[in-house]
Amino acid sequence: MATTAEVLVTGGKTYNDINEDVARPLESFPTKKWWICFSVALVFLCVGLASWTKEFTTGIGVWGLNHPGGWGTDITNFVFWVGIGHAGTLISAILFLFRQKWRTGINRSAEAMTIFAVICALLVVLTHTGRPWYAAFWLLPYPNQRQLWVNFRSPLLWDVFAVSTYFTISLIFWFVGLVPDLASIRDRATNKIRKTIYTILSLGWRGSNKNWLHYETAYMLFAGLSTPLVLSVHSVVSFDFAVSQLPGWHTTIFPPYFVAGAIFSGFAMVVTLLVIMREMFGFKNYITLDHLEKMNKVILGTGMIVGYAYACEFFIAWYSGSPFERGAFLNRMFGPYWWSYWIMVSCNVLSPQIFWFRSMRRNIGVMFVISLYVNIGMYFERFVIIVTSLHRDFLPSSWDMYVPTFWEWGIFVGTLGVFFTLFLLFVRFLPAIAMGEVKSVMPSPKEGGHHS
Amino acid sequence: MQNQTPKENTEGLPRHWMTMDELSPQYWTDKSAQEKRGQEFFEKPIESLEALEKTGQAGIARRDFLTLMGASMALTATACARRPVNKIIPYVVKPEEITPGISYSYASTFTDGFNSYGILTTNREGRPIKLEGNPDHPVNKGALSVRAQASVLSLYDPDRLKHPVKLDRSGSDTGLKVEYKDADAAVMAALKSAGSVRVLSTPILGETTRKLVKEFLGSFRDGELVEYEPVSLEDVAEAQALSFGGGHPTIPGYSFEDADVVVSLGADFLETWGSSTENARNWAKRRKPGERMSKLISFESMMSITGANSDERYPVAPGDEYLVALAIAHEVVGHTSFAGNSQITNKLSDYTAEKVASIIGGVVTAASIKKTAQALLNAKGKSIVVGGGLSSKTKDALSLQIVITFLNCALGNEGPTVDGNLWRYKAGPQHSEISKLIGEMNAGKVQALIIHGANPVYSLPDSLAFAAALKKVPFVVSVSDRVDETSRFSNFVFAANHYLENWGDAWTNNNVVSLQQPAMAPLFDTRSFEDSLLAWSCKKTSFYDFLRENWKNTYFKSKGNGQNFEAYWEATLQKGVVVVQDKAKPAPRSFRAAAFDRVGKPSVSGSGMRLALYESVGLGDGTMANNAWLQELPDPITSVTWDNYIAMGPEAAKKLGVELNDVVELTLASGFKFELPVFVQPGLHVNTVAVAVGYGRTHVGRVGNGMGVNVFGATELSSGMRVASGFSVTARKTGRRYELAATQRHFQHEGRPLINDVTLAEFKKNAGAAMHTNPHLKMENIDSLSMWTKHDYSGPYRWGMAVDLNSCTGCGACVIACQAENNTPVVGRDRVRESREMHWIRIDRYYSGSPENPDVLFEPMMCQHCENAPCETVCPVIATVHDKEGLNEMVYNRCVGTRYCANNCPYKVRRFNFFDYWKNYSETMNMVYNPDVTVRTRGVMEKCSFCVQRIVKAKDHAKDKGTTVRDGDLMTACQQTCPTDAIVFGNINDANSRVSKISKDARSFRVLEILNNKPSIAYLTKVRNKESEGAPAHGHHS
Repeated sequence: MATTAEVLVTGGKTYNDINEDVARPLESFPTKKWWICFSVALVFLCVGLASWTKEFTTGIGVWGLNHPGGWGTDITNFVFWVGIGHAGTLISAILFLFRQKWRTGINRSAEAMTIFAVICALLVVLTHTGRPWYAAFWLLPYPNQRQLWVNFRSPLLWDVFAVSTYFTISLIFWFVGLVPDLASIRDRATNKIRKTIYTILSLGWRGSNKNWLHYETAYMLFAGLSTPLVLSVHSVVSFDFAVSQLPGWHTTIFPPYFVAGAIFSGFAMVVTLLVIMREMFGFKNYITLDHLEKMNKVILGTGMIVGYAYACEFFIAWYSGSPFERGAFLNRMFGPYWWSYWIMVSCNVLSPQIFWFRSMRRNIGVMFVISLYVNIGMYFERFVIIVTSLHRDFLPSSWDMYVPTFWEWGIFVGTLGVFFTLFLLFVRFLPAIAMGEVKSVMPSPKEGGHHS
Repeated sequence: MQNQTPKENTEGLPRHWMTMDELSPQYWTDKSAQEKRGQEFFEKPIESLEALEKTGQAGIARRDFLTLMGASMALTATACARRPVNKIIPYVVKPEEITPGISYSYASTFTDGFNSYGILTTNREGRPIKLEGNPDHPVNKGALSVRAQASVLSLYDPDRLKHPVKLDRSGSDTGLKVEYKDADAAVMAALKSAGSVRVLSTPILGETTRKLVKEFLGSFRDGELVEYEPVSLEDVAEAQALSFGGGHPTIPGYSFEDADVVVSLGADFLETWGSSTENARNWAKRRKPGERMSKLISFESMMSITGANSDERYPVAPGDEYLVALAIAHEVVGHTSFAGNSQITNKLSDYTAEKVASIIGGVVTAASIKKTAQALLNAKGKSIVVGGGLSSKTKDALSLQIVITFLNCALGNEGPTVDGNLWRYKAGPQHSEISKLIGEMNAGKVQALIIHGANPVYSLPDSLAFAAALKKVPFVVSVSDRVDETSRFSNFVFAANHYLENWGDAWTNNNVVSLQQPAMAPLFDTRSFEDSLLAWSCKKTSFYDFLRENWKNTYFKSKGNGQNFEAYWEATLQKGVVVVQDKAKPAPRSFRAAAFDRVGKPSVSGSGMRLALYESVGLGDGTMANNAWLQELPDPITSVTWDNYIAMGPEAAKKLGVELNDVVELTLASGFKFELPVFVQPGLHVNTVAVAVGYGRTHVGRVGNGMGVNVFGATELSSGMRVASGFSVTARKTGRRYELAATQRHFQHEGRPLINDVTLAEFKKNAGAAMHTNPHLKMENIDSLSMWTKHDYSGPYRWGMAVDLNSCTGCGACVIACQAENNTPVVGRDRVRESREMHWIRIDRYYSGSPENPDVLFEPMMCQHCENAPCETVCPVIATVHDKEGLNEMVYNRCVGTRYCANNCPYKVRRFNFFDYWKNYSETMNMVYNPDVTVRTRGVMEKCSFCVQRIVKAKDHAKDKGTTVRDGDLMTACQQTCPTDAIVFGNINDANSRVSKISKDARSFRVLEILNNKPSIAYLTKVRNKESEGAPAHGHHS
């Protein structure tokens, strides 16, 4: 199948090896490593639950928000998680359409990451409101006796549509991709309950030609549907800021800048996760150094786009002549939150530059550290945009500092808990590598016929 | 029932029946049976009832029983209802009934120290919820100060004493609840055996109360009234007496509306000195830019409201006001009729402008003193010199006042602008009275002491040891609204009424007396001081009758014009105020040069730091320290809430090596020391440290206890007068830090085009000068750039506002008025530190010029009700919407609290309920809520609504009359209370409305016009009556 010299699966794996390797974590009792990770994730989740409980029972005053600063880590978390999600969709949809075969080893987990990240994003955006018990449904346009409607001019409403659409499409896309593999797991299942569950989930997949034909058509369609979302979702998220009047937010560069940033942070998160996952489950032959190197290239490229955007913002602020714009950007660099700005620049612009060197791109330790840096840097990018713009806006009389409290960090930790708990459950119960797709990019077995 | 007939049965019998009788045809036809059926219950044996009635042995028949029971229940209920027993008359409408949803106004009187203001209470469902100035009252004419506005909250203070208590005199503030009967008996027994009785009271402004007290004391062998007020004008009164001789020492009336030049030497006459609400109102009349604009020059140690509003302000060290007075007098005297009076000139000869300027240093130069003197000379007979606030009450206070009195006489102001025939206040108590009392107490000469309201343990100098003296009095009884620092040493504390529960009157000036009628029956088991006195004198009359009787014999007799007393009384109650004597023509008094014998050499000097005490705008002398509105009112200059602090200039702070929030210990020569955090206040002399009194209460209640530090103890009595400032202090940095809760934490203006000020000269050249100082302020032809279709304002109304920065003194009365009107929560010190204060209107303060002596600008900031409101577009649930009358409305019920609107508001006027702040109005406090305004729950955004409830009410009234709302029918709460008429609200669809006209003034500008939000509030550029040289630097650079 593979026409190029590229070797996407190493270790001389056979089709059967793939089934064995990928299904192993599902069919054996979890390893000690998994339990350790899972316990940590659960602890994080509990911290989050406690923080949310505190918030719901007392009010969001337990956070550090105040009058110039209506948003802080809450929306930072939201944008961070939505951004993380983007890599999954990019890998599974756009790379699919561009016939980038190297994606097969990583797309499943990247998509899972997307879904879990969007779940986190939805959680934080709902709970950031003052009255989430109403926000949960008042933000949706539904017919009601009071004839109350939503405001279609509000970027927050666009967010509701963008993110919920994104979640739905991603979930379906992911699930459709899972069906053939679920059938494989079903076929291997010996336990009756297990068999029943996987039978239901695999939707009666028999692996017939017709099945594959429909599957591939559907997959292609979903890939096509998801592709614009990669661009649109984060553009819409950026409108939350770009459409407002606030100096530092009111910027036309935001949509492309946010999309690039999203892909940047998403790839970094994929690298972080895959480095762990391939170690933990022995997927080194499926998620090879080549895969990781390609992702590091994407990180380098998008990191430079982000760096360009930073520079461009400053130029425009100066060029505008507006004292408010200039003030906002000078305040970012040299104001009281200077440290967050410089963390952002060093993590996002400087640190990926090391990937110009091939040896560094292929060094697991280096890429793991850089991917963490990028995650931190992108978190701070959102923090910088939100907090430094808000805390000093137009009238100096209102200016004040915003300091996140324990409960806010608790919620961030909680979203990490949600994310990792779901991810660990995912690798435990679902095939973390798309077996069917990996097989398609392997050389045909000597004795086997042409497959798909 | 009586004429029931069976309808549904053809045989004439009912289809449905209840008793067998009904089945007999006679039952329905027999007359007597028909009658009996008139009784309500059929099953009652008719025969036995009949028999009983006939014999007359029935006792009480059932119906009679029910009738009587109903009546007695009704009577019982009436008797228990908390309704004023005495007849009170509403301002406009007669109180036939309390109609739910309809408010009534009652005219009454608020007294604050020496000042009394006419108020109108707004009563809803029988309780006052808001106070407004009485427009008929000649002194405040509708305006009210912050404390007057806030006093309604004190009515519902849950920490008020709710019943009389018996204490053990150990100083413990928890006592045994006692009944009035028992307590009265104990008091009367004690008084019977006491030969010498003293009544120690806060200033008694009411002549009727004074008469009652005198009568009461007259029944003792040795009875005396001692009045006590910690911050008094005794220096002015004494100087008046010395300068003009004879008569009762009085304080003259000042006509700021007639003054071209006002020079203040430490007197904050716009806020804390004298009849400040009246002063501010009159002064502002002459602050419209133009030929008649007056000039205000001040020399002061701390930064006061008056200083902040001065055209020229010169910081001096505490006490140096006196040097300035001498130097001005020195410059002036040669040009006046006193030029040849050596008694005076000899005293002044030493104080040349050069010499004085070199002593004072800082920004004060000989030229500035000469300029001031020249300005006064140019306005002979049309100027006023005032001085002597707490911050300039040094040992030289009397000398300073004599020089000031001399200046006013020499300049010919005596008569035209300073009216000795119109006493605004009687001199009131002097500290000599209370020091005499302490002497008597210590000598065991006082057998019984009755304390009314006064709190000398808190506010007297520590050196006088009032508490120790109090212990030597065998019997002490207090009439107080709480067991405070002083009354906790009493045998009994009688719970006093709040003034809104009290009858009384108040002497406003020698021409005007205003009546005080209760707006509600006492909330708790309290009794007024006057009724207590009557009870203890075994009189059966109530104070209400006493008051009526006294009025009948005095004011009615002299000015009743022969009408019937009832009619006079009702009319007076309705109006709330009565002119008891026609205003006499001002007659200049002649200055007695002999007064200069008392003018001493300046005793306060030296290059070290000196302490100035002052009254804060909110708390004043601290009496109302348990009022959360006042505690949370940001100081207009520093914006600090809930605490006092040491204010020092940037240079002094640098010298000491401290910055904002560094805790510093100040030690006086007397040994008194205290620690407070530093607030670096631009515009203070390097030798000045200023601290507010009124804080540090220990027994005032849950709100005020332990807020700040009490510095009254630092004061001294010197020749019978309170010395509050000028003490040499040594400062020590403690190394600790304490975060002051300031609402405005950023002190730079950042050179942004946010506010405009120009000098009068610039204004005269071009009235719209400020508009063009920055290209970012003015937008031309921006209408075509809008992407939205414009709103349709074609209805009769579009609401708008104009704020004249020239009139606004920054006093903060609007902030409290808004809080009272709109149920705005109080959040507490910690929440203010977190920048979560909830005020719908705030006063932004900006400085321009050098930090040594900056100009101060105030910009009241509230929701701008923008035409292109940035908040409206971003709300996802349409919780904030634009209405057809230009209001930006907030739908609390719909708000889910995304806070996006607040983020997108460039004015940052939206306030978010981070918690259930409404819970802070605990216990009885929530009775102050305005029922017309929703109380907001947590998670909801709120902001200024332009008092939409008042708009709706005005429109309803107009509709009832078949008209539309006319200009002036409707005032927002902030506008209503503003003493200087700086805020004008109205219909901008009406080209003839005041607001429309003002908005079109050449000075008009909109804040952040560049954003094209099109605010509905126009601001008018501040014009300073000063030469261009000191033109502010900001606004010209960006």
